[in-house]
Amino acid sequence: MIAKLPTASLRKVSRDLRLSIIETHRLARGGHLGSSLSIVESLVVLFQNHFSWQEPEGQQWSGDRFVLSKGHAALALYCMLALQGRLNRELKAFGENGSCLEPHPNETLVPGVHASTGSLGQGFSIGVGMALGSQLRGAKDRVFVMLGDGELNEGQTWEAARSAATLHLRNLIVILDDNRMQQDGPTPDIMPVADALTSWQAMGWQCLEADGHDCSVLDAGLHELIHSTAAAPRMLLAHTTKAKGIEFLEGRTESHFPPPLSIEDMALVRYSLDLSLR
Amino acid sequence: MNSARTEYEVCLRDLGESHPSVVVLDAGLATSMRTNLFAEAFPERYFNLGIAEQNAAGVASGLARRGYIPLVHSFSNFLARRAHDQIALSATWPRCNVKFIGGSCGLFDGRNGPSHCATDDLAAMSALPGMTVVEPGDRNQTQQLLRKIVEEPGPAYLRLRRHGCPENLVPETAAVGGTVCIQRSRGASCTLVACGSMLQEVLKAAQILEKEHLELDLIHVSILRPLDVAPILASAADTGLVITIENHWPTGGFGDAIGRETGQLGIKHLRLNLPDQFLPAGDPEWLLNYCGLNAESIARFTASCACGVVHV
Repeated sequence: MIAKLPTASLRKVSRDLRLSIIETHRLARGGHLGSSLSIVESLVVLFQNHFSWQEPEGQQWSGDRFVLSKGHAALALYCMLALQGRLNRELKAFGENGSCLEPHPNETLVPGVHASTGSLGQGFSIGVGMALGSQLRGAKDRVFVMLGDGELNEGQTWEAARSAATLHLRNLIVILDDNRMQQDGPTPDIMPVADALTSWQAMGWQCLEADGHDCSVLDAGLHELIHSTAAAPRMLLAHTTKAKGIEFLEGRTESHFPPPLSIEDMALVRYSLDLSLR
Repeated sequence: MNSARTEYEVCLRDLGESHPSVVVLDAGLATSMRTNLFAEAFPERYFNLGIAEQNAAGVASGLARRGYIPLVHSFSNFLARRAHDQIALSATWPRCNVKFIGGSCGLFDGRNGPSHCATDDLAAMSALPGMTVVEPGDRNQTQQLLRKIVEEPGPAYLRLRRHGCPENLVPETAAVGGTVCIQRSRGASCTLVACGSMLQEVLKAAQILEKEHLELDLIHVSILRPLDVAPILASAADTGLVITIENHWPTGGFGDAIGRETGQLGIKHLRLNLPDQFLPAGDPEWLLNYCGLNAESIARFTASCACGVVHV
């Protein structure tokens, strides 16, 4: 595992990741920007402080796994992998014809992608299977799954959640990116989940909620869930804002797949992010 | 437990013994899919995930990534139709070592009607790049094909009859050749090609035609994808006529697969398949007759075609 970072450093890396996402989106002239920006702090805290990339020698089936079930946020994952020096291509390949950095992550092309996703709901079930496999082997690795709140529209997510609880998968940690938006508008207006936390607890999950843009709270929450002794899968409900960091797009439907930012807007965003670090 | 033990449940249990990486998943139809012997013998490797096929396909994908060989069981309609996206993207695209075991296929399982009786599963599964598709014709083949798909890496689909296959119809050694010549006759006027579960009726039809002194080549195909078409084309080069018989709708099934080969070569190819409609519910014998797929119908059709009679 990479050395754990203090909160100030996590915030700095989050700023770098956010800028990298926006700049890559700008160069590619498209991409799922809003959905990528809402998971920035979750990715940074997870990958910097809680995720082990190491695989025991000769056991390729082992090691922590991350599944971006909300696969349309691949841009954020690529930029995070690039920040950690784990990407096999330069980010400028994102969006190019025939590039391995496809709009939805393709495990057959990118080594740091542990499961191809894009059809919502599917990554969660894959994560359940990975966790079950590790549990069967008595391995100590963990499986992290990033879900979107819009993804809860899919029936498969509820099948997966119930099966994980029934199987007592204590090595499975879901981060639910609750940005309260989906492609067509606010999730509460389209297909609301009255109380995700309570719903999941009722299914047998151990749940916490946190400000999904507060690195300190996320770090503490993930630590608590990972080290809990409960014989249950765990879920961190991250309250987030879609397109976080771009003020004129935050929480807006059009942030889902917006046009690239202008150079001027990019400079404003950079200035604003730098200010927020002080 | 309903009815007598099938060959499948015994095979599965034996496979669990010889292959410790095999994990069995059920999607709430365990008593129909006959996984009970495995579940009793290896409870730590058996999971009933409830009536949730999409999740089962994904869980299997995850298990395969941890080095297991999951066998996902349900009726074929609920796999090939309902969980098709999951089978395609979660399992087949990344070439996960997942085996889908589909029951209640075609007219031999038509008692419960179109919701349960799979008639387009071959089309759905065969369409997926890299998917192995097999359908046994008898008990030997069930055992050997199950073992074969488990021992060969990658996604596979085994098309089963819910109440088991007939006793062994072809020599055991011939079972998993994929495409097997059962009979080659000098001067044969027709190549009859039985797909999977149609083997028994086709063999009966051949017996009827033998009495009528009609010489035939007889071929059985149990591995539908990848398809070994060479023995069929070799026979067709002599006979000039191929008739395929399948337990599936006309679109996207075995006949289409053979037609892609024969069409390019200008070989005459006629097809017997399930009618292009949602079938009424019925017992196997009744449906065989209704669909024109019982031995008598196959023999009549073959005789008329081989003798050059225009068939409607």
